[in-house]
Amino acid sequence: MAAEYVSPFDDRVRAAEPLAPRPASVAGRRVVLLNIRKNRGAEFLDRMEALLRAEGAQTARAAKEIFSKPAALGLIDEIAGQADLVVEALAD
Amino acid sequence: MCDLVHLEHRGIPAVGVATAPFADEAIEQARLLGMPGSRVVYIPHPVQLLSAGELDRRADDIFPAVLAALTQPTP
Amino acid sequence: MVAAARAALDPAFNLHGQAVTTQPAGQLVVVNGPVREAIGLNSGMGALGPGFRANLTIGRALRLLVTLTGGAMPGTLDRSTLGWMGKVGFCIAEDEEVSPWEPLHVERGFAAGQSVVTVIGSDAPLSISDHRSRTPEDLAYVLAWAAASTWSTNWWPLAEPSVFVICPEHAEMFRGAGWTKQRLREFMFEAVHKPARELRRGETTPFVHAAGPGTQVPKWASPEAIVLLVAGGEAGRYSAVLGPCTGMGFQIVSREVESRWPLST
Repeated sequence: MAAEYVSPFDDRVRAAEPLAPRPASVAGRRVVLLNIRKNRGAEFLDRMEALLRAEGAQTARAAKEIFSKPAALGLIDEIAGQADLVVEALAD
Repeated sequence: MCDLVHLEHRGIPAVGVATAPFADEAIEQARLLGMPGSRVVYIPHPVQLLSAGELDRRADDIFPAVLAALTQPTP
Repeated sequence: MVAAARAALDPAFNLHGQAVTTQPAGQLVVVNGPVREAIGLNSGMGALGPGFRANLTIGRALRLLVTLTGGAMPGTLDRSTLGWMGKVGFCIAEDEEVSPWEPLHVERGFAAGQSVVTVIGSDAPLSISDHRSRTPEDLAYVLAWAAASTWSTNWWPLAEPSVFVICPEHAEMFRGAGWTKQRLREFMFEAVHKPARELRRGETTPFVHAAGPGTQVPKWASPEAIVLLVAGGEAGRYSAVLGPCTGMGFQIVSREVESRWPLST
């Protein structure tokens, strides 16, 4: 039986998907600060939250279950239901 | 990156913050996930041993880029 | 190979997390059952080293899936600071015939006659010499304390699995004393404790920070974090411990080997 060889490389061409449209300003917008749960991330987001509030944003906090996996889709849905904007940090 | 892409799919502008050595990983992951325009901003590495004041300054320094990532129009 | 790939791609294994972390994080493949002999897998002398085509082929093929197909090359997606040679490929077979205990796949719910692949995220082996202990208690103490500084000197306790590869001479001491695997595991767990005050230097856990200074802190969060395998040459009293892969939320995953032809020896 002739062997069929398949390239191990993932050569799929991926069409570039667009980003979501941006607002002109964060003022009056609800920003969720998503902590990936690495050490120092919460403090970094504390500062980021203060800076965003100074710009007139409303803020809320969320956190992934664990830094090494994507956030559960349920959490993404929950955030999407309440957020206008998201800042995710801190990957090191 | 997965999280940022999922949020953008749902119409939520998102920005990630990472330390600089992870830039090429983030760029490659964004490409593999089909959203090469995903926005991530970078601060100097390392951060683990920074004092509270030093970490705050990293946040202060990168904040204009965070605002830009959330508000600048997409191409 | 198919079984190893399916096991590694199970979301519970978090292969992505392991592939991109700054940790060493290799993927250990353990093979049990009749397939070992059928395809020439080595579980004897040099079990953790080179020289056996089947071992290297399976371990290497899995890693090529991760690097070539998955794209986790060092410098792009693979951010492992140092890596280790297990990231070239790391497949071992358990020496079920020499072991005094039920093999790994039977512990995990499979029948002895099933051929099973188990994947575990792991760090490099740390060799443990013990040529002089005369009692199972002393040997178990030496084996357990060898792991005390794995992952990080004072990062206690560890919830993630540490894999001990027990050599046949060491296993024989436990056999002779009638120790079950669980007895050994529990002894090792109990043996390695330190008061929190001795762990408060450098990197340590929130648990240690919060504990009273005299609180006894175990190295492992539970005896179940200690995985025991038997492999190695018949002579030489060197066992080994593979430190854990942490923070991945991963589970050890097993898959039965499905074969389309009879396994013959």
